[in-house]
Amino acid sequence: MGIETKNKAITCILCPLGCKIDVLKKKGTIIVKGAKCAKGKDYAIKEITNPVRVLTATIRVRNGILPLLPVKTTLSIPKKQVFTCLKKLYQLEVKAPVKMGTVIVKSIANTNSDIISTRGIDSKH
Amino acid sequence: MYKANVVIIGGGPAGLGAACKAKELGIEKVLILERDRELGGILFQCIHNGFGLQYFNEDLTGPEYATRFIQKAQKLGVESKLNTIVLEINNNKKILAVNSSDGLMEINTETIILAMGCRERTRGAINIPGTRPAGIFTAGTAQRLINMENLLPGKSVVILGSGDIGLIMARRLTWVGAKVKAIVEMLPYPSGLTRNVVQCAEDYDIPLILSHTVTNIYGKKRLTGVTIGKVDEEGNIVRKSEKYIPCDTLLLSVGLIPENELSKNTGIKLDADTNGPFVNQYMQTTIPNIFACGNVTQVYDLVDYVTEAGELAAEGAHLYMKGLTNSKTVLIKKGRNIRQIVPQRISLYERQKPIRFYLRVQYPEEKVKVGIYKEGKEIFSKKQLIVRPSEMIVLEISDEVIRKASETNEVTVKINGYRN
Amino acid sequence: MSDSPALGTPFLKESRADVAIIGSGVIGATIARELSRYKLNTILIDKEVDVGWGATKANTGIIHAGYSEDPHTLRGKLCAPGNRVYQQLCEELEVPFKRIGSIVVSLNKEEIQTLCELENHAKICGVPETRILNRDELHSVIPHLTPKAVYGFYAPTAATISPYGLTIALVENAQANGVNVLIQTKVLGLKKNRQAIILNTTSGYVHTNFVINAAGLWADEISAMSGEKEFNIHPRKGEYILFDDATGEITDKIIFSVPTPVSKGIVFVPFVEGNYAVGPTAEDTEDKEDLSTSFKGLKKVLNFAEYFFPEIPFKRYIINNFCGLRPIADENDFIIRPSYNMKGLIHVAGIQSPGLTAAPAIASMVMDILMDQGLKLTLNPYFNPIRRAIPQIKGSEYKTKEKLIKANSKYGHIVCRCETVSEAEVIEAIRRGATTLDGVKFRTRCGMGRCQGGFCTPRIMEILSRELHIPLEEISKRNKGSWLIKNKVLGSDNV
Repeated sequence: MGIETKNKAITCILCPLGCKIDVLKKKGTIIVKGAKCAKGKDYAIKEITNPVRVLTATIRVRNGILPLLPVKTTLSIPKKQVFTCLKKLYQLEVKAPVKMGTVIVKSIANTNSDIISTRGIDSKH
Repeated sequence: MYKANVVIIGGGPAGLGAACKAKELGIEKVLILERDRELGGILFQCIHNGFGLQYFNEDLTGPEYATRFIQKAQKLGVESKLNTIVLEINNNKKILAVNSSDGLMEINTETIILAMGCRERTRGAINIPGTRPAGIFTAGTAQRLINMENLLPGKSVVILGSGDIGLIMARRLTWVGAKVKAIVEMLPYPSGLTRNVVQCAEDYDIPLILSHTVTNIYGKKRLTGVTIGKVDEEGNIVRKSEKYIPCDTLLLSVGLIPENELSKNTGIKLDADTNGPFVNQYMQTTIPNIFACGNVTQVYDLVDYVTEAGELAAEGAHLYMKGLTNSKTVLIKKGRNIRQIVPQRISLYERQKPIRFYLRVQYPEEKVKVGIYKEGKEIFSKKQLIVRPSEMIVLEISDEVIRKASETNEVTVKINGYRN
Repeated sequence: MSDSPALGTPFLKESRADVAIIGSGVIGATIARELSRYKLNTILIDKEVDVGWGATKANTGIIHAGYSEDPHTLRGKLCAPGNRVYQQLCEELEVPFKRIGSIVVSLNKEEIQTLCELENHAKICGVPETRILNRDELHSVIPHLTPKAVYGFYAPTAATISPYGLTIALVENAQANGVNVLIQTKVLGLKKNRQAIILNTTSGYVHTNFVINAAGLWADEISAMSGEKEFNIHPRKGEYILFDDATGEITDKIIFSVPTPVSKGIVFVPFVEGNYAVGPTAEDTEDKEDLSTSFKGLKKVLNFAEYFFPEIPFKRYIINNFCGLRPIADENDFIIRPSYNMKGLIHVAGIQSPGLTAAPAIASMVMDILMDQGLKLTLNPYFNPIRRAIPQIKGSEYKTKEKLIKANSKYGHIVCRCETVSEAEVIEAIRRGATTLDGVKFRTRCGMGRCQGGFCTPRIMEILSRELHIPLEEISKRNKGSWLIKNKVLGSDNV
């Protein structure tokens, strides 16, 4: 990865300005053009080196008053891990009742981020 | 016959904010009437994050944000009735509501807080021609089906409208295995937040097609495709610009309309620009004991503001019950590039706390100041690098500015360039 | 409640009937109800999953006074007599009916001639109490009307009704009086043997003495099954726009423009439910299933509304648009006569406007033909003309609401907030035959309001699933092809 050249146009999301930033990665050096502030520059560098995202999803619930339990990652996870994590989550099924904030998966896909429930679901009976 | 000090119609974020605040202010009997099966409003289907950044300084998901307030309300002793619909409000203080366990209920109350939220604009409302197949959903309905009912409406999707719900649903659909073929936006710029454009559309290479709209709908039974066409500056379809996109589902994210049928029937005056009641800084409507807050007054972009509006409404109801009246009213006029503003008037009380205005512009502009003018003279201004219709502007004005404004009967809010 | 759909089982191998009616539109349904007055074995057949889903479903819902058509045609002759019996019919069937009157508005003085012609038709056809309004009278009756309007032709007997509501009621009443209803059944062929006609259908064979061809747009194809196509039916498209009742009162009368040779023109009509609609366009097409609206057509009808009522900001009140197809016969008149090719087959075809109004008169003409053809009629001593509507929460008195909820708590659970429809009403609609979202919608108005089902769709699907014991993902909008849900998000092969 380190030797190849990577060029990306990024829209900064940090403030309403939404700067269009050009990032060029070449042999370990990164050139950022178009960022109007230092934070924007950092964001752009992160977006080209290791973009991260919070993942929110649902998993199946057995015997709940609702069929699905919403969950999230406790930390941002690498963007490229999103589908790997989703795939793991879609295999799961938990049993009601579930409380909000329950850890469902510890360090999902070795990301160091846990999966926790974002609401409580009572059992059907 | 039921009795209450405050009846709150709607148990979403606005109603919950109002209810908690009302109890905190020491109001005894606070009752929420909620039409859905649980409190929380639309938040439980908004499983994504991005809520609470302003109010809690935390990045919460919709269900978490809702749960915090529901738990708080329970602790404070807020009462609520679920699956309950308000049929009418009589003499401004008698509410007729119905549910299956209590039957018809007449509720006598000192004050009412309207917090019914908004509904989504439909295909019919924007009058798209074509057939009427199954497979056309508003983004919010699809969101509920997918996130709460475990039902996927379709696999190959076009989304009309780049509002936040549309963008969020584009990502959601991608994550649950559907293919989003395009997000089509009539305006030359996206309607939703930049964060959502990036993280929901760009992240997954979903084309966001600006200055286009859906011009026709095909399919006799289920949707088979749509045509999209370029829209010129006057809003007309450019000839021969149309192209066909096969799809089985069309999601509409083309705007939200405050739900004010009840307000209207009660005789509350509505603002044609916000589609919500005319309110003062305590969210007091034109009927003194009826208050309104949240998306019923105008469509907010952040739930945090909705909560704040609910709290203000509760304070207003509290002041009203204490018998505190206002002496004078100053009207807020909309000047250059202002689409809507809430509150539309300020009432002067002896003790005045800072007032927050929530406003939206008509079109994007860079390097501007948002100013308040009294008889042409600036009494307040705030610089903004950029203003966009999708992002609300919040202006907080101090006691001093309020006092200046109170010397007249109306002030004007407008957007000006830096140099002006 | 029973487990089978209330509109009869779609499965049979071989059955016998005295009369088989093809098509459960308002015409087929009215004839079925007429036949149920007698001791007869009658079967009503429709290819759709519900009744009245052809031309009946999408029209203005006007019960015309009866002056518009040439008095020498069947369309002219049968209209006023139909109008006369509607009041009683609707009382018996508990179908909302409002005799609000109509006004043909002329925008220039030259058109007065046409208005006089209409008045002349009205005299010949026996339409009571019509008169020409001068400018002042016209504007005092309709205050919001464009100042350009100069004369009006007023017919107080015109009325409005829900055409599908009426059809559902007619079928329910016919069923209660012994008529068999066979839905999802397509007629594939007709064969005559010595005693009877044999209908070959997708649900089996029906041996019958008489066949009523009330197949609407497909009546020519049914006629072809007799050996030779006796006439052609082509569809004429009509596009409509529906407005929210939040417009407030605009007019309490039906407003017509001055008619043209092809059509009575566009109408602005206060629907019986309290909101307004405008339409239809009149465009001849080929495709009998093309229910698409067009940019041009919608613009045309919206312009009409805006032109006649310039003060009303119609655009912001649009809640939907829709299209209907009228079945037009070559000769542009109703075809009501025995087949030339097959004894026992009777055509009731080309029933375009004013078919809804004329329906009762058409049915009585059909009864005469059947008797001429040898059908023996013995009164059915058990015939009960009364049909009860589904009791509604909306619009009922406080006491009635209280009583309904007391008897059935599900009346207190409102599932459609725009139209204030309760769960009990939805369950009753399902019991009476609704199996789809549209079926529930046409019986209860769930989803017809301003949010167009955004809120109630998931709830109605849930009730349908529970009551009919079918999985949620199999609930459709109106038939198998119009599926609503692809599959489960989790727990299927989806992801």
